[in-house]
Amino acid sequence: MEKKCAYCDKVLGDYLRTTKKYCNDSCKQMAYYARQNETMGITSTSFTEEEDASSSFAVSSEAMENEADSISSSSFELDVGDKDEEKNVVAPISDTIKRPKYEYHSSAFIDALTNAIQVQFNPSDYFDYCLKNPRLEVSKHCFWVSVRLRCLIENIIRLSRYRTVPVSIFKQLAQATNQLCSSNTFLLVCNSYPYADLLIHLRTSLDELAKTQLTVSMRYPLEFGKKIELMAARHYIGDIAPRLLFSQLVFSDIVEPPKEKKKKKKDKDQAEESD
Amino acid sequence: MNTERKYLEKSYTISTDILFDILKIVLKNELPNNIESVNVRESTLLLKIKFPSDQPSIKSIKNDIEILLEDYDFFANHSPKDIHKFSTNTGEAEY
Repeated sequence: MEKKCAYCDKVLGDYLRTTKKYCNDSCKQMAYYARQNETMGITSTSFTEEEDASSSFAVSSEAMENEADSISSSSFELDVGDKDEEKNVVAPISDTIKRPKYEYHSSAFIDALTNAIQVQFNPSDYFDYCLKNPRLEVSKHCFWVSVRLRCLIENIIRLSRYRTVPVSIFKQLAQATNQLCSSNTFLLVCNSYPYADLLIHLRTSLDELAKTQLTVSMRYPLEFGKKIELMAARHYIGDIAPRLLFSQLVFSDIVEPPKEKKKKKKDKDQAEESD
Repeated sequence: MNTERKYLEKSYTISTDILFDILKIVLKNELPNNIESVNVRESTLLLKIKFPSDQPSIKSIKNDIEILLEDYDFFANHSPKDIHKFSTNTGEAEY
């Protein structure tokens, strides 16, 4: 049975040892490169016939003769010899293989989000100033508002994913947004705060939602643009405000008289009246 | 001779915001996949993708999916200062 070269399928001569796999060293080297490329994600099919033929590793007898000529001439004429060498020089394997270039996909959602974050509006300067000067009154107010706004935005985005949301939750959100908008702290920074308009817009939309809906529960899908706007805002606010739960926060900063004192007064009055 | 294809299996939690983009890659490259679970409340699903180890440019496909998921995760759950937490993936094809 005739044994063939594992790379080029040439019949191996009888004069070669029986365990030999390749007809010559170049085939052996090419097979090694093919194996390497396969492991790196390129199959041997990416070698075209022309490329294989022109491949420097499958050195033909003519090329060998030319090379021999060039070597002999180069020993006498250096300039000519360099040119000949350039012709016969072994090209690197990376040039001879035609690699199938993988086309990376883009997401319309992520592209829009990146655009909103990097191009449209960037409040980093304002937040950086607050972070660098945490003792300033403006910075304190900014932190206070940002923590609450982040909580509201995250809840709105989360609720938009749910199938149904009880109206009572929207009422709580609307109430919290109202309290935040009418808080003294927000009023002090509303002229300079980057997301003041967003907060006011949220208040109006949540108010409408809480008033108009009569059903027990409903869906609250966010529009594409609105969702992008909210996610971009949350992304930046995340720099300055930690994540806190809705139940952990008080959205109003207006100091009210404690209820216990009121109750005690009432009880006293009632006791006096009864006496 | 063992002719079974070898697969690298990976599961990803995918939000519906980028689900179609991921599915586009999976279907275009004819990758075997399986939905393991669906979280209706969070609008996410757990998708198991099998990457055949003998398929060309499998690293790039895997990289492509992971870049999209990583980008989404960064914008949705992190802030600009968290950028150092993410790998410096340039998104260039590897061969």
